[in-house]
Amino acid sequence: MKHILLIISISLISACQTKQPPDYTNFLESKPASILVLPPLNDSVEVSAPSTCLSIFSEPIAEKGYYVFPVSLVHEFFKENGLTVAKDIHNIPVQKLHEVFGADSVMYIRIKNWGQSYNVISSTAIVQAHVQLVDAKSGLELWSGDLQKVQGSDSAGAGLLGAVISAMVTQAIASDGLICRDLARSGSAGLFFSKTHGLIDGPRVDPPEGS
Amino acid sequence: MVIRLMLPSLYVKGHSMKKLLSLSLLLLLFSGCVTQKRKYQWDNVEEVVYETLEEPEKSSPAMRAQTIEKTIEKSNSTGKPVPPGLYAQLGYHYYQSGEREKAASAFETEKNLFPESKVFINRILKTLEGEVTELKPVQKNTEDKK
Repeated sequence: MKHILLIISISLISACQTKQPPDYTNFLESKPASILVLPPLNDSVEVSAPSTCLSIFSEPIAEKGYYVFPVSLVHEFFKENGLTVAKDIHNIPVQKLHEVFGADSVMYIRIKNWGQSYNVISSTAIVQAHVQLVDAKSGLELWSGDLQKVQGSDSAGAGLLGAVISAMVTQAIASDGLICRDLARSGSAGLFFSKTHGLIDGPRVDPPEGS
Repeated sequence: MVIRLMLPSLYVKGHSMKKLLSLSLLLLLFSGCVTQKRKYQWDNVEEVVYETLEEPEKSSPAMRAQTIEKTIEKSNSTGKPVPPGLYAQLGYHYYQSGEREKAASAFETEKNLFPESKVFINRILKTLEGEVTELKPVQKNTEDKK
């Protein structure tokens, strides 16, 4: 019993860390209090992925103790000033963003994959994005990480017809975006809150209970 | 298998100690990967933000303002603070629906609660009055930031 628990614990913990932790030197020196999350670049075919991403990321970043600029206002501000394409926004010099927004740091997101693929007997939903945090004054990279979550349709033991039906149901749900949203929620929480690979605590994080 | 063994015990009547131990063990196993307790009052903020960005025609700024007001009311009753940016978004929806005084007040509240927002909120206020900010992207050949 004890051994089974140990094996499960190790495999659960190791599932959350698959590569070397980032170098936190710049991050610890910069200690940003605010993060400006820019409209994401989108390499996927899901047009709404950037909006989903923005609406989901704000919560874990704020819970990590940072002021997150309201993403819908940021979007509106860029639009009012003639910038609607994410690529153009990403090419604004970061020091200009610091001057205009008063932001300590800027988060750049590139969505690589978002949505589902459908084979005859299986359906896979995937969300994949590269996230980079940059100091707004110096332009130095403070942190980067990758969000990647995959979910396949579960058809174990169901036979061929069962597998097809299961895949179609998953496809129907995934087309609604619900599965991808769930994956993005859990994935972003895992990414930002990781104790070894995540964001360091910002100034607004509550002290641990009992201290 | 261990988890399947633990789950039924959560549904057994009585045996509250066993239930507590099972739940604690489950939480401990997953604690490395899941989020901590949430500090802010989030409610359906994510939904409102998504709608504002992607489906603004789904409802109206006034209705979105009302939804946010409900979250703020809830925050007052639970004692959990309003998240960063929410008062600013409320101010924006008030502005869109013609409630200028309420908008000004909401933006001011955002600045007071979150001084990190001052520069941006002041800029938003100017933008809403028609001022344009120069934001020229640099034409890059290589993506050196990524």
